[in-house]
Amino acid sequence: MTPPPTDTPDPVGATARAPTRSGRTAAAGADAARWRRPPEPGWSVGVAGDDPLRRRVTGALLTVADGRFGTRGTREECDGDCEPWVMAAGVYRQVPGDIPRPVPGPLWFHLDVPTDDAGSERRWLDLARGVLHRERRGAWHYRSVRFASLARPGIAVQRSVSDCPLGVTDAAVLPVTDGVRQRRWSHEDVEVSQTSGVGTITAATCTRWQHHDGRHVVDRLASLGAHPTRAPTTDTVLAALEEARSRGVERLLAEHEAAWASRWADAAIAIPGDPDLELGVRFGLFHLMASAAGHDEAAVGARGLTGPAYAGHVFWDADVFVLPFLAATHPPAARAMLEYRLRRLPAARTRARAEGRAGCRPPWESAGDGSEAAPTSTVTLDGTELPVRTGELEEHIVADVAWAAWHHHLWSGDRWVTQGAGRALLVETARYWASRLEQDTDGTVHLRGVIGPDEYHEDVDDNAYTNVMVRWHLRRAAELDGHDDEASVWHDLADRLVDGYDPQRGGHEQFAGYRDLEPLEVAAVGAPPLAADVLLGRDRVARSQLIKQADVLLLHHLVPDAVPAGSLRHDLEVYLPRTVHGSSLSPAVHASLLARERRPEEAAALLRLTARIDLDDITATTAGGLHLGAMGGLWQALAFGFLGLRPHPGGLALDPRPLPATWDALELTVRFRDQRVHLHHDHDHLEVSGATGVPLLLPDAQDDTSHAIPIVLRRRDDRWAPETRR
Amino acid sequence: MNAPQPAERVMVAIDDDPSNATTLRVAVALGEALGHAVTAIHVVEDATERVRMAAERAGVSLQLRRGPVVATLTEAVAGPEVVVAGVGSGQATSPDAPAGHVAVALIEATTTPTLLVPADTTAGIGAPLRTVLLPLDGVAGTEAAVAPTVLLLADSGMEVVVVHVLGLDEVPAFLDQAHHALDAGGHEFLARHHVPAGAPRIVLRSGTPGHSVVEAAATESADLIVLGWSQDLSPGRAEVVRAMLDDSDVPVLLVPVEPAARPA
Repeated sequence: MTPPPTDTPDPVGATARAPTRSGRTAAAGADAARWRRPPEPGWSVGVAGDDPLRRRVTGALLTVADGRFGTRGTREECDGDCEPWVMAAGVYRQVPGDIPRPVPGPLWFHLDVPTDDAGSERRWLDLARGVLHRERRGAWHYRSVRFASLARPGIAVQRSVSDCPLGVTDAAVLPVTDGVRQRRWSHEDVEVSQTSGVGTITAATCTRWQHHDGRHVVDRLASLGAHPTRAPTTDTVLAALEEARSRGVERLLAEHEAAWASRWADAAIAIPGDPDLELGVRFGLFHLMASAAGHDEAAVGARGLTGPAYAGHVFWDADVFVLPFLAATHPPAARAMLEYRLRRLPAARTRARAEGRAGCRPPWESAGDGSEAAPTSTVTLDGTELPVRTGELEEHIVADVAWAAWHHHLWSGDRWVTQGAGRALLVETARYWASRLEQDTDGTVHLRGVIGPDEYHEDVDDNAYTNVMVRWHLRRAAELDGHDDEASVWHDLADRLVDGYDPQRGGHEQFAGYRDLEPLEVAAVGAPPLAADVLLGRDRVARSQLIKQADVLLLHHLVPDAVPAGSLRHDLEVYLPRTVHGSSLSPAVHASLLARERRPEEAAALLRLTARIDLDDITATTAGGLHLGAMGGLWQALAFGFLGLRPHPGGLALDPRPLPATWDALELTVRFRDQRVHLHHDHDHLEVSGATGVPLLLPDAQDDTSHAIPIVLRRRDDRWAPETRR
Repeated sequence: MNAPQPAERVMVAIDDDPSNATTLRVAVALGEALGHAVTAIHVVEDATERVRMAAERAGVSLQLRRGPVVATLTEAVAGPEVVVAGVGSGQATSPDAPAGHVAVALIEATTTPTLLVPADTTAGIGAPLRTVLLPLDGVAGTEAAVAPTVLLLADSGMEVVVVHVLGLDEVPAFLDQAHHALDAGGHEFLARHHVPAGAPRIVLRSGTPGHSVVEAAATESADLIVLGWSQDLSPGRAEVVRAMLDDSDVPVLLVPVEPAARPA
């Protein structure tokens, strides 16, 4: 696979070099080139000019982030019209009567760049290196480079080079927002700015001005700190700034690029033959990697650090769609996401108790303190005020959190999940289910009054997705739980819990009574994706078999071993034509399953749709932030779908499927049990290389035999077997 | 020495109809919001005494003119000092009583923004105008036309509520969590279509524009609707204006949009 473009970092001063005739060292030349790198095909997403209607969309697309802080790709001089944002994960404000919302941080990058209407401009995000470039040519030349250091989370850097003087009043502009207090003061030559709601974001900024060879160079260095409930210690923020300043911007950039190179080495992806999709996937993976810190806790909102939409709340998107990619490529980030959930279990326990239940019930929408943050009502498009019941009824989140924890454990081997504090994410939540389930006199066990992933149908009984996930959850927790009596109860409940599977039909009923609804299919309404509840009205949709997103089908994607073999085909036949993809999470799941069912062209079409959701602003809401869940789904479709890649206790399972005709190959890199594994699938061969200690589990294995890396599998008809080496 | 410019005013046409009181009441309330004096104008036909008393009760001055009603009113409200014209929209709103012919003829003829007052409106009773509904279709010319008026109203303390009715091509393909998605969509609409009113609210609707705007006016308890329009009431045009005339009891201030800026 062609690795991401990178240079060997060349720390200034680490190696003495003879000066060139120009007087500049070769090292200085390499560093200068680093700042002037042009867009690289396959690794750059950019925009030309300035479309006033797309400023906020572009800002979201070009966000640079380090897992803790995100700075949208707004131009340096842009005002409120561009909606510039600096976000800190997990820091919220609270206005009475409203839901918690993100605190906007000090705009550390602000600079007065003169306008030049006659000039041309381009900006691009270097995905390989995590650097935002801007170049303006006209009456004068301006160039800037901005990054949020992945090597030093909290340190952000911007270098601006111009033919004409650049102006700055305050080093950081403080946004005016309801419920946010502002402070600003100076500490020697450093300006400190703070914005506070419930939590606080602090920015310490320093600016260095240089003028030589007719060029004005402005280096802006920012140290960002945040705390969810109080102000971060200013000394810490200032000390980080001084440390960064002593390193110098050249070295900071080199470190940052090296950090990104390391991340990409564990998460490489290539789809030769489909460059547009390849770029779209890399764009998604870039933002996934930038959205989750690798230490402490990571609150990954639905839009990550790219914008304030969805109020920065954490949904199941994080557990089911974002975490799997991180678990497979950067386990510390997955662990930090689980730490976020663990630290909010006390609030989940309080809620369960208030509802008369045992154990812990995590919220559908989570913000700062772990209490339910979902709104309770909304005004619909026909002007009706309706209750929002997701916070009340969408309980599958409880099992989703447990699934995420177990998934992380399978990829990483992290015993924190099975033997450490993380165990509570499976065991305490299982207790909730045990108290929630209802036992009928006929011996069957039910879960009544829920909302499944298909939110068009509320307050349903025995939603197949929720019930199967609960069953999986109870069984997994029983294995971990040290109390035999409890474990046996959980096993018993799991065994008797109905799941909607009909052996006669060979598939699942999405919830009790689903088959009695109006048998409406998507083709009768329009071409998906579409918001059927808007087009047809909520009531009509609720009376029909139209579903918002993958629900039963999601089971086959997340827990394929927990559903009867062969049921995927029936369930695809039933639910595929009834799914409107009213959620951006849905198409990628279908793509994954279509790939499993050897329908690669249909799968690829859904992948391409998913990859364009934000790049083409399909939802008209990209201005508020990028759809991280959809991005995670893209990776899952490639890994789980086309490669059949699954972590198991006994090793890494592989079960490849046919690729679309236009793909020359699919290449993917993951980390399994802290070892890098590289896969190259070119239709007829699947080459697995990398760390030699990873046991591979192949399809059609007669026993528990595993294979060793490196290995090449060869396809014969629909079967894959190790290639015999002579 | 230049003659002093006449003070800007609202000029409201009244006739010999009991709804005059309502028309004058709303015109006075609008005048207070805009900071302009109000003058009533009557094209003399008969029963001038009732007209004088109506103007006197409303506390506004009265101009009397003679001539063809519509032409005379159109000429009068075209004066440089007239920033808003006003007229009762006819009779009480009901399916059997569409807007009066004078009102319709006036709004088609004059380029002066014109306030249409339904006879059964409760706007301005015992309280100043508080909430103005601003339907926006996303066309730049419309926004530019209404901007000066909206700015004045917002500066007077009125709350501005934008309503945008999603066209079929605007219904989002994905609506992950409707309450959040519509919040984000509305926010972006406001950002793209500059509303000179500080921090306006926005409500999104889907469906037929006319009905949706009428419904939104009721839901939001609007005292006034400000609407840019093309001055073309031919079939298939100005659906929202027709709905206002036929079904709404909320006064509407119609602001003509420059021909070049009108949507196709």
